[in-house]
Amino acid sequence: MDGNRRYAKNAGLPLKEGHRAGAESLAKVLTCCYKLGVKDVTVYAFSIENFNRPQSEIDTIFQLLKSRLAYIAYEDSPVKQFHLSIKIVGNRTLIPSDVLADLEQIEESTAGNTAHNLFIAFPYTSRDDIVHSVTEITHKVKSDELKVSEITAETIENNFYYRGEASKVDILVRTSGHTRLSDYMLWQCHQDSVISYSNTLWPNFKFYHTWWTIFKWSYYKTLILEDAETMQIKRITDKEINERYKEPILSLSHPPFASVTKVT
Amino acid sequence: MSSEMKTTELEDSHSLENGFSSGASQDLVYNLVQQQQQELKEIPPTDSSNRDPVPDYSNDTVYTTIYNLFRNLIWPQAALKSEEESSPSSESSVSYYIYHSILVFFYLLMSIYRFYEYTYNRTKLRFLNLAYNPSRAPSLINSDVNKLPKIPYRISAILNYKSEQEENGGVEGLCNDASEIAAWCLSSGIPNLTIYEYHGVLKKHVPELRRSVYRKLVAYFGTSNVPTYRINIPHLNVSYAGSFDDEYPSDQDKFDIEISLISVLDGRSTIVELTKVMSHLSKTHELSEKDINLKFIDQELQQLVGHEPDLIVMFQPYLNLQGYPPWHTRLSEMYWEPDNEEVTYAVFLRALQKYSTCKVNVGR
Repeated sequence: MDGNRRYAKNAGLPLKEGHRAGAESLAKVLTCCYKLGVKDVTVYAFSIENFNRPQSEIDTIFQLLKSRLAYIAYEDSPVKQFHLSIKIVGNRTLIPSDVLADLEQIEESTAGNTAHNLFIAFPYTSRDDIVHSVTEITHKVKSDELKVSEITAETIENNFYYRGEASKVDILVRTSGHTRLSDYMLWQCHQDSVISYSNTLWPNFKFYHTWWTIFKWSYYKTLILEDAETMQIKRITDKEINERYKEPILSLSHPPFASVTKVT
Repeated sequence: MSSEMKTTELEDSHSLENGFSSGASQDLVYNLVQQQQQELKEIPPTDSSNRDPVPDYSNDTVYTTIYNLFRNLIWPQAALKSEEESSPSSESSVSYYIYHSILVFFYLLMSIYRFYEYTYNRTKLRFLNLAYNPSRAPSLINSDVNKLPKIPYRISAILNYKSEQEENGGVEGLCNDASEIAAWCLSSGIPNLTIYEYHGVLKKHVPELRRSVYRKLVAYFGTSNVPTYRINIPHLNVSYAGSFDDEYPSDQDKFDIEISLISVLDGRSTIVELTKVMSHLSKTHELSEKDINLKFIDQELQQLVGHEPDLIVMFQPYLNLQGYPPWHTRLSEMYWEPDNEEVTYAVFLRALQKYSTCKVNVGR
């Protein structure tokens, strides 16, 4: 969610209005995603680096986020019909205690829903996430829950703030024309994910943009699947391989040998 | 040219104090990870089984695209799978086919749009390549770059191994591309180049690369003053100075350009190894748990892999990081030309131009 401030500046609105427009845009995008059948959505609401902003702006963002999430969770909004559960991913120790209490309450009240997940990255940076995971693992090793030899990339993934619920993102959208990741989902999107950089500012990011991003992705995905089918490079499991080649080579028959040397 | 001056605004944002409480433990961790890392094996380029297919934005011709779409219309894979699980009524499968054909119709429109987009992009690239031709003259490149307000201090290029049959393919093609980029970097005054290649082919062909870089630099700068260069492989902790014949004095430690070679091994697996070593050390009480923080891990990864690049240039038709070290992509600007497959100067220069216009806020 990038571009709220520039949106406000361009439209000649106060900064607060920009963030408000961004929060409204979130509901629209979420409705679109869930209607199209996307299971999990993560939004980058607040970076740890954003604490460098003026305190008044931080307060505005926190208030807006709280009220928006409460709206999604409690009111009879269009988003509510999708039975989504809201989860906070990020460094909770940095959230002021009053905001955190409200957020945890929202989290708890939606915890029973399993159809869709809405992850709020708040306050989040990917590097912090990796460090968090590493310290968790170290702690587990120290208390003999985990052996050093068992540590793999999956172990690191399972100890993220996501707690193993999101291993790889299919599409990552960054709005407002910057072509860098800004410490977001570095681990999750650096392998064969589609990263889409949009020039639209976040408050202007509406149904059409969401649909177009997902449509483009599905178009290429379909072509890949069909290509794989044609070229028969589709992954076959070990079981299938064993079934296909179960006959040992010696039992195959062949025509009689005709050779000038002696056949043994 | 003082390139250090121009990077100050970026360096400020993540300036790290070196006041370390446990400098000794840092070295200890580094050495241990280094040892473990050397046992890791690169994935040979012929082995494509452990890579997911990625959106291939340009390899298909129009006919294969349309053929594939029609196959999808007639035998939809997703439908077959879901029907096996829950045998639905004929009514719902009819409505499924109706909706599916609407979707495939949209796909067909999309493929027509893509055809025009592809043609447009290729034509544009052709014109750009004509317009920006360096003709192996450093002065031309330098005058192009000097028009820009700022340039990156560390640049990284993602190269792709092409099969031997293709034009400019194989190890030779890769070495040629790498040395060409090194020459462009030198001409524009960028002192650090990191080359990422998924399979790590270049790491295994250092003699070829050294020779190739030397030849390229002679072609660009003449035989009398060839710039000095050093090729580093952070994963094996080795570095090779100059060309094959080792003409530099052994005490030289300042080079005109530093070229680092990294591969997929420097990504996730390095972080995993680091985690292993740190958790082992903290269990044996050689490293206190308090010391494991962002700054410490950052220092370690800088030693193990290198600094984070300011700009990543991808010479491929679509954006795909291919497992580039995740820790290092934090604030890097990314550049790629849609539908471009070649390593050309136009792409390099346009990446620098793009970089010179962008502003890094780091949260503010």
